[in-house]
Amino acid sequence: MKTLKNEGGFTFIEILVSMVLLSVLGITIWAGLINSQGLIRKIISEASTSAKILQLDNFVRQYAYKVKIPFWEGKIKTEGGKSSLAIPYLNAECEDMLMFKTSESMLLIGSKKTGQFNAFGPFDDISFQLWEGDGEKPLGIKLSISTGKKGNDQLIIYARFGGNPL
Amino acid sequence: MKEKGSISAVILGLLLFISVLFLSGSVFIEIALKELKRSEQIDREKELLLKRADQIVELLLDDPTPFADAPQDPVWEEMQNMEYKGIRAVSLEDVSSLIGLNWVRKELLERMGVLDFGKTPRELQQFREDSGIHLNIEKAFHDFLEEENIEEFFTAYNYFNINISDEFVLRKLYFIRTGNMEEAEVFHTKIQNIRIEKKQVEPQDMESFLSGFNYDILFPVLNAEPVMNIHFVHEKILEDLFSYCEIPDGKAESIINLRESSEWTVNDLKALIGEKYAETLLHHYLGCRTWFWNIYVEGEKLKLTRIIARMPEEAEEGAPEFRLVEEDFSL
Repeated sequence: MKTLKNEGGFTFIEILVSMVLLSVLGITIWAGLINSQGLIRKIISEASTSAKILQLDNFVRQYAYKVKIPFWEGKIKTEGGKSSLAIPYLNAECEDMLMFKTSESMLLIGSKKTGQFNAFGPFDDISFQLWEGDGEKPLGIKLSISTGKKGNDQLIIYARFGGNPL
Repeated sequence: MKEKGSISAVILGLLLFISVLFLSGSVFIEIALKELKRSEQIDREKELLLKRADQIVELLLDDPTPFADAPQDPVWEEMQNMEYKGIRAVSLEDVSSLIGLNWVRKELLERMGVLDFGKTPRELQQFREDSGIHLNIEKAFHDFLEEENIEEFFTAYNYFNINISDEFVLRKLYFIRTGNMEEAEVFHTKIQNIRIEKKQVEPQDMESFLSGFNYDILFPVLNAEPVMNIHFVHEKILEDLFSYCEIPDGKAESIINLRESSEWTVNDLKALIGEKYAETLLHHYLGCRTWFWNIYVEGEKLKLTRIIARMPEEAEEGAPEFRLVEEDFSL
């Protein structure tokens, strides 16, 4: 009957080779894990940004639709400065205003009358202004946000009002 | 070989953890997919409702008789064929053939006798002067009129006719459109003068009458077109207007009886009503065209309401042009 060699155990060389192999394998797995963690974090971050933008887009459009400027209006009187903009005729009421404002890197949208605001962000850069048509007639709101750190991932949302002057 | 077998609590816990993880993952994916599907359905329905509303506008544009809007127009019949494949209801309503509560003069308001007990047309006029022009008239004027009366006889959707609108409202409108109060005062004086002289401004004279008064900014909101359509105007309003303009008795009744089967032109109205139609302010109140339409389309989940305005054209026989005034989706 044929018997195996080294029945007593492994040689020093065999142990050394197997340790080297295991180390290489371990390092590869470790590096892979670290990389995949980064990748997962990046995917989550991108997905989260996309979700935030979609949510913001939906909200801005819904709210802008609630602004009903009467057909007889000329140039509407907006309020605010660099970091805020208030547009009258929210829910067709002159006293109620749709308000956009920034606080640090967050965008706040809501009713000036009720004081209830929804927060979106954080975004790197936020700007908003009236979207005007022919004869400076207000058509809606133009919202511009930057999501990338380089500032080149700029997104512009044009949201139409529910009522427009003639 | 070991046949008994055993499993540690750690392995069991791990299996349980993995099961919970997969279960929650699948539930999350299921909810996300459902939400995505619902959102897609709503988007599709929105598109469908907008398409139907556009079709109604197309039908109005294709009206073979653009000089008059009447129940005989093809749009009404064509609309009946639209209620299929996810469309529950479609309707078209003339929302401008009512009295404009934002511009009505106190004499006509007095004649209508619809104000609440103890309220006077002068008080309403003063309220308008203080608070301005309102889109939500039910809410703004609830202290002066019953809600049912406002809904039945009044509207916020019609143009401001220079001949029949309250002079103080015209001053306010001038200021709203131009932002110039000094000019608004001069314009007001001009309006007062033509009223004292009992002169009327006709559509073809508007531009020359308003020369130096920002015609381009005031038009089309301020014009000289008849504000209501005789084919759709409320019977009581018709009777009150005929009485207000001293048209002989019986004319209003005969028009009410005939209009269901007729489509009149302005010349027909002159023949039907008589000389007083053109001589009095009646031809500024009543005409044959509808200026504001309310288009309503109802789907499975959503409802679309769209108000469009017809632009007062330069030429009498010109093709109509419509502009979007309001649009609203509701659940």
